[in-house]
Amino acid sequence: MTPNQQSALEGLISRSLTGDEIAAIDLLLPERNDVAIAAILSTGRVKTQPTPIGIGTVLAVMAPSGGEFLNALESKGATDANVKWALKMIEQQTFDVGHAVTRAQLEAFAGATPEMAAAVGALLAVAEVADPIHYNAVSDVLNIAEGLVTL
Amino acid sequence: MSNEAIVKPGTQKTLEASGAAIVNNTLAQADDASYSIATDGNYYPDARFVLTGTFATAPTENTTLVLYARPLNIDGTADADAPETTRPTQYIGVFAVNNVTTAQSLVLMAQNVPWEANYYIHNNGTGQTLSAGWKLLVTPCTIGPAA
Repeated sequence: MTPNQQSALEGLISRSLTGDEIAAIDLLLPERNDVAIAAILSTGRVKTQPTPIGIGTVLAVMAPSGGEFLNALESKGATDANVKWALKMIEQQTFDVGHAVTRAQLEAFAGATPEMAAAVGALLAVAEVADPIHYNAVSDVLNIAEGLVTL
Repeated sequence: MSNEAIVKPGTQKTLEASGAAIVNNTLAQADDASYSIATDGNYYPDARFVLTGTFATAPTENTTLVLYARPLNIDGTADADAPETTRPTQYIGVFAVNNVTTAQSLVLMAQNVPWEANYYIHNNGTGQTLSAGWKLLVTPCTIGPAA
């Protein structure tokens, strides 16, 4: 992999390639198997989307800790207005676990409550969907890096 | 029965006998020869193009290799600009690929082809490289009365 190719791929995914990824992609570049390269770059990529949820979702995805989580919110809501109103939104099925602020608060809650971190992680995952890199995007950046086309 | 309409093929011409590899989302000229309906095609307006090539890894099913033309001598000796991946100059048609690694012979019928032109193949999203050694043939044709 040339520095230009590596830079192009890293620009596409907005992060550095790992050593394993570089080794795997090196095997695919001579043939320019861009479909396989895109699959490697897509591994584990997710994006969040607006996902309003209610009590039912909390109980389902956080089981068996959902009830405990709601109780914790109710308790904390007595002294924290933000949590109080967040609980209202859960009751109204409008609590958006895809919203950046919501996610930051849930992650902070998980950090402060390690025994519930896994359950909170499951709740956060509700708003996550796969975010694969299309092979044509790989082709386009590699073609420019290799001087095959100018767009 | 006579005077019924029949297809009249001309003499096949090789535009590219063994082209270089074309990676996904790039194009290459079939640069062994140009094609003129006057000198190569008996003034027949139509043509059948046949592209034969292989992919080392199977391409995405039903994606396309696209045939573009660069018309020549359209204003005296001035030519149209060469096609680019983002601008075809003159679109002729597509060859839809099969998701196999064996050799594929793909056919495209084109009507009213440019009077004189160079031809290009655009690997348009197959996801794989069209291997070196591809071939592009053209056969002029028209419709006329049977004897």
